[in-house]
Amino acid sequence: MGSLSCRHIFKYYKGEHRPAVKDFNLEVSEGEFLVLVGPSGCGKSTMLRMIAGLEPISEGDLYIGDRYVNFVSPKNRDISMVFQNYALYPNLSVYENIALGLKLRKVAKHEVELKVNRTAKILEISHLLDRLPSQLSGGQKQRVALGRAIVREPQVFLMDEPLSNLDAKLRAQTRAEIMKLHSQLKTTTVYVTHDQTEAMTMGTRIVVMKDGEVQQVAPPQIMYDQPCNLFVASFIGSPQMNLIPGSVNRREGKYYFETKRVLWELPQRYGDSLKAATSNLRQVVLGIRPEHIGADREMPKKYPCGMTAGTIEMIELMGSDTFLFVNIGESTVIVRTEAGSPFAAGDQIEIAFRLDRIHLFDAEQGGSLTSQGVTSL
Amino acid sequence: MRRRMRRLSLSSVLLIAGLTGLALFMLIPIVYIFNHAFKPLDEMFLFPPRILVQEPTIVNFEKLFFATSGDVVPFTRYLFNSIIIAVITIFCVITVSSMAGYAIAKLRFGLKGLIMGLIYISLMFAAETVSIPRYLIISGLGINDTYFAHILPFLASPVAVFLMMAFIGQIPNDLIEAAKLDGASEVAIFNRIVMPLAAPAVATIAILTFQGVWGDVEASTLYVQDEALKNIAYYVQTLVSGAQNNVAGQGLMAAASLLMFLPNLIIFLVFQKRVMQTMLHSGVK
Repeated sequence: MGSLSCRHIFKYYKGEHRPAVKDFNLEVSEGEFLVLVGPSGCGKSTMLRMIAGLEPISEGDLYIGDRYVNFVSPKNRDISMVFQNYALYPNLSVYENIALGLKLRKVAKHEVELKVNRTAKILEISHLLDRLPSQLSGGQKQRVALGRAIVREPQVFLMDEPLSNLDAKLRAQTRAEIMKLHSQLKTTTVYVTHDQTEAMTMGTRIVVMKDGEVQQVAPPQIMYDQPCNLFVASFIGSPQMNLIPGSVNRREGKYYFETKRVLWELPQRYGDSLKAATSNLRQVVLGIRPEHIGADREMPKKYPCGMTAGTIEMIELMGSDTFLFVNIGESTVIVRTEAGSPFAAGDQIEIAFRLDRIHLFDAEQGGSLTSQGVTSL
Repeated sequence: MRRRMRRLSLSSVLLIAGLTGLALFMLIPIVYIFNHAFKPLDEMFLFPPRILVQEPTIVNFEKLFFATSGDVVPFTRYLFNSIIIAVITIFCVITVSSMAGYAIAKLRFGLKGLIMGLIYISLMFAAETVSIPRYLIISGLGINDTYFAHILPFLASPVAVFLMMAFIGQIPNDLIEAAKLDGASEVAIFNRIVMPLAAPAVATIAILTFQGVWGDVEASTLYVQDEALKNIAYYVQTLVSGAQNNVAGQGLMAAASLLMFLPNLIIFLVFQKRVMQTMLHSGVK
């Protein structure tokens, strides 16, 4: 097991002036499960490939353990990688697929056999060892790919969207298995995905990237509760955070959030960060998660709330809970309510926004005004 | 059965009938040569002539193999030469073209564009246009009157390189990268991963090369003066042109032509599926 250290890494491609990865600076500690997440083209896979040594690093330093590896070839970096489309050698049996890495490293034959069998047992693929990859299902292929990665006992695992070719049920199952495997082996892992659910459920820490730049690095819960900017706020969470444009005004020492339809007094605790951040009047975007908007009348009694009326446009039944899409004039917000709520599309309802759980973002820059300095780099 | 009949439209019936007729027509020389090769001498002189043989005999083949009277070099020597040349050429062409194809399809290096351009350009030349430069190269190297004179012109085969390049290009990069991470060197990747996957393309190239080299008369005519080093295609050609108006020699000619033609037929029948697969993959059709 080893740590991983990325220091100010840049990646430039020929003929493009914008770097594919810009100033990636991160320490991954031993045994950590780090998830790189972002939309396609954000540079997360490029970053992973640079760690693997499949892409040269344009600028910056990379350390695996204490070793400087910028110019070390992939096979000598003591890492292994799981690819999105499994990349199993179609002409070799499952056994040989798993064993190839050891054989090429001239490991003694009996040891290869021992290790492959042990790995197959962990992944429950012992009965498949004689088959060819073409005779396996998607989930089985993925296990073999994992087997090939873990059999070498490398310092770092790299996983490039390993679940995205699986169907939803299998994906959830394999996700759990990878987590189990990680808790057994405790190998430092860097995992790339575009799926925020995977990021939230798997990572000990999440790195959100956009356009080659790191937006925020934080453990999942902090990422969810204190997004550092509008992009992270809208990217993490499903359904995504409701965003309502408006302005913040200061009158007689109090702060108000104001749109054409609402005027809400903001709790005092935002005062300090707003004071530092805003002048008298400022265009902002208010963000609030669906679970912090309520349609029941009890809510305003428990929490400081801003009220407004709206029309239910659509109802989405999820089984465990129900999402109401409520049109409040300027925008439509999603409200999470309990399953079996007595609402129908077209109903006029009064909804309450928990003002103690809102986020305010600068409308121009996108930076958070309420969770400043908490979780950015 | 009935359902399938109903699904065929009139146009497809016509098409199938037309193509069947054409195929049968194409078959005529093959049928003819088969029958001729096994005809005894008296059947050659029958009037009216018959296509089908009445009393098949192998006397023509016997004559061909054992009693090529008057000639210094026996038929078997030509056959031996052709086999040796074909085997070495196929082996070398596969080695050269697969390595070149892999390098161009998967490796990054300078001047790649230029090299690919040259290969594309050389695809456009007909073999005849380069016989003089070939002759100059071969005599310059001093390999006239050796087997190398037969082999060298086939060695740099742009078609083979092009096919390998297209086929290897289809192998996902992930596989090669996975092998790199597994600790494979370029040579190991090539031998263990790329070549097994490129087997259909290798088969295709083997067939194409075999057909080219087996039927090649250029080397024997232009670069090789020594009769003992010429190949069977050359021998059959001289036999045919020497016996054009000779009815009695027809049986011998047919037997020689049949022997020329059979390996092609067998190889094609065995490998045709793989050839089609490669052609489809590479976009050449």
